[in-house]
Amino acid sequence: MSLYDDASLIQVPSLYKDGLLVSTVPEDRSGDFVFSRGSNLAATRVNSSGFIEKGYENLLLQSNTFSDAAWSTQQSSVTNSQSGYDGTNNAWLFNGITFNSRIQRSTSASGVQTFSIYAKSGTYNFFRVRLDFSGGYYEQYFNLSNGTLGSSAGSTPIDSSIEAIGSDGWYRCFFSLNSATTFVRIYPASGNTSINGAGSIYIQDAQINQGLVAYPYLETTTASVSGGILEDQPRLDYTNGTPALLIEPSRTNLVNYSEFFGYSSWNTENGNQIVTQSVIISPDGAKNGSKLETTSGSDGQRKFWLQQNVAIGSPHTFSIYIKQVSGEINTGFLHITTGANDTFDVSQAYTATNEWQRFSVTTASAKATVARFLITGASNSQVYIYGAQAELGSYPTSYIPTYGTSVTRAKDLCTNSFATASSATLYNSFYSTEVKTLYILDQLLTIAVGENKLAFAFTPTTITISLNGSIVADATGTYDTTALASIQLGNDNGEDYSESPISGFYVFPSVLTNTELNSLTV
Amino acid sequence: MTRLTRKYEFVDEAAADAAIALLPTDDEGNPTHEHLVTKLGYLVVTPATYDDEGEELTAAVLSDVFAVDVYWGSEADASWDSAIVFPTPMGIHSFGSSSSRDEYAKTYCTLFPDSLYCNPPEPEDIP
Repeated sequence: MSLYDDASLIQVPSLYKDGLLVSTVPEDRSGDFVFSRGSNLAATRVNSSGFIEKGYENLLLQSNTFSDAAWSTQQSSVTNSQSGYDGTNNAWLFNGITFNSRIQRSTSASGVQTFSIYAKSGTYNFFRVRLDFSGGYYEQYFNLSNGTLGSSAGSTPIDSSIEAIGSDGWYRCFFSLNSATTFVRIYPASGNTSINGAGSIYIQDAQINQGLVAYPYLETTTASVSGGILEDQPRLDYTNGTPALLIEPSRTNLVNYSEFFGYSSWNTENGNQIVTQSVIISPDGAKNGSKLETTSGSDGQRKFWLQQNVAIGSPHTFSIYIKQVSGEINTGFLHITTGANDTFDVSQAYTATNEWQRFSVTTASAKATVARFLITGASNSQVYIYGAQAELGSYPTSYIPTYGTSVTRAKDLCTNSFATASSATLYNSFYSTEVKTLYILDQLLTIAVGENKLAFAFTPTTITISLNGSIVADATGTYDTTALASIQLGNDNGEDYSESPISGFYVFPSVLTNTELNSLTV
Repeated sequence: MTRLTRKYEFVDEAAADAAIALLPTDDEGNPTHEHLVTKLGYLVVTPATYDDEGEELTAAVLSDVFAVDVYWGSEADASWDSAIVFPTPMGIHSFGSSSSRDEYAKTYCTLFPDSLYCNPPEPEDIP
């Protein structure tokens, strides 16, 4: 018989759904945890493939119902039930009747966004997409006969591309931009720059999602639809190789553009910094990492930075993912300055490697309400960058993507109403990124970097603690262990977050022996 | 359950802190009204300007009111209504919630049905 057979609650993070973390024991579900956060687009985790996973959504309504009244057909017609790129009959024949034929609809999306649509030649080999914003537009032709980009007009998009899907002539066509988009128009085209005449193409599955790349398609009807991480989904993080529950406090990413470094809120000095957008696979697995080249060889002329409001006297942490460009100088510094220009409050050297690493620097402004967060490369250095984050707090929390405004990830809460006896044993395994001190009742212990396995048996007059296979405390005293009517993982009523992802939590309704405690934590 | 994003402006941070302190709590000091407060502070009206060396030429012009966003767990606390504002739901701070963003936009259009945001004009057709 296993010791685990004696457990009244076993929580090994693995089974979950939106708003619920399932415990293996008890089987009557009374030990399951209610999970809440209320943020999907601000929440990320490292998934089992090792990539940062985000919440995302399709903001374009009626995304594959081109006959809906929201889509206006102008000198054109649409016919459904056509053979699609995905083996379904969900594609549409889009037939232009005369000059300037199109379908169009209003939309509402702001900041960095990517429009995408699947398309295939009909009697026409080209089509045009135009997105309008107040005072301007983006326009792009796509060549469906050979999968190349055609002409463009209006504002210059951040990126545009056409990718073959299968071998049946279908392509996914997209372009990313930074604007407050109000209108979408799609035109069949007789040629590159020509929307004359009558002809057709096939279309399917349009999408507008925030970010620099097109995410997997999500079907919408009358409301936006979300994918990836959901609002109240427990986040099982695989940073350490095995799933561990992320329980984090609320944080705001003060960086308005965390992935689009070409925007003007990111400043260069003397033009000595060159950013090339979307050139490498980033830590989220998409080609949205940027290259930062520092051309100046002079000290003091290598700043790449942004400025944000900060709270005086409170710690702020600036973090960013960096990877080396092969064969290039790969060193530099992260800085935060809150005083006069170039007076760094704190600096942290980095050496980029062939793996993406997250570097961070922390300081508290004692004198200014505005701080500058800087990256300074060594002379003639080149590095890849992704995922900038500036947050109020003494350590970096999980990445919060931003595409034009600051974004707050609300706090994680994970609770249940499972009653624990006044004499019992608790087990908790968790990961720590630093050596630190932990208090359990009146006992103090030091936890190590990496996974820590901790078990403690308590009564109203005794406590025994085992850490990583050894008894580290065995004390007597007077302890209030009554009224243990609920369990909160990783925090205390939304405060005092542990910073430590949880890989296991068990309750035993009895006081285990020292040998049993050590067998749990070894 | 749709949480509510609501935006508020106070004359200064002290006034915001006073309003926050008055939010109801239980005997142990825990909020009885589920909420998350994010102080946005004095928002930048005009960004700072810099010379080629990155030295500041002109300081940023900040708003003269202190902005606070609150993420209410259910209904917003009515005692804050006097400070509520409804900026256009484009390019504003959010709590990273699709449902709350949609609710805010819907409420905005209920309050301001004639606004450009709720009735975007069809852009000029440029063949």
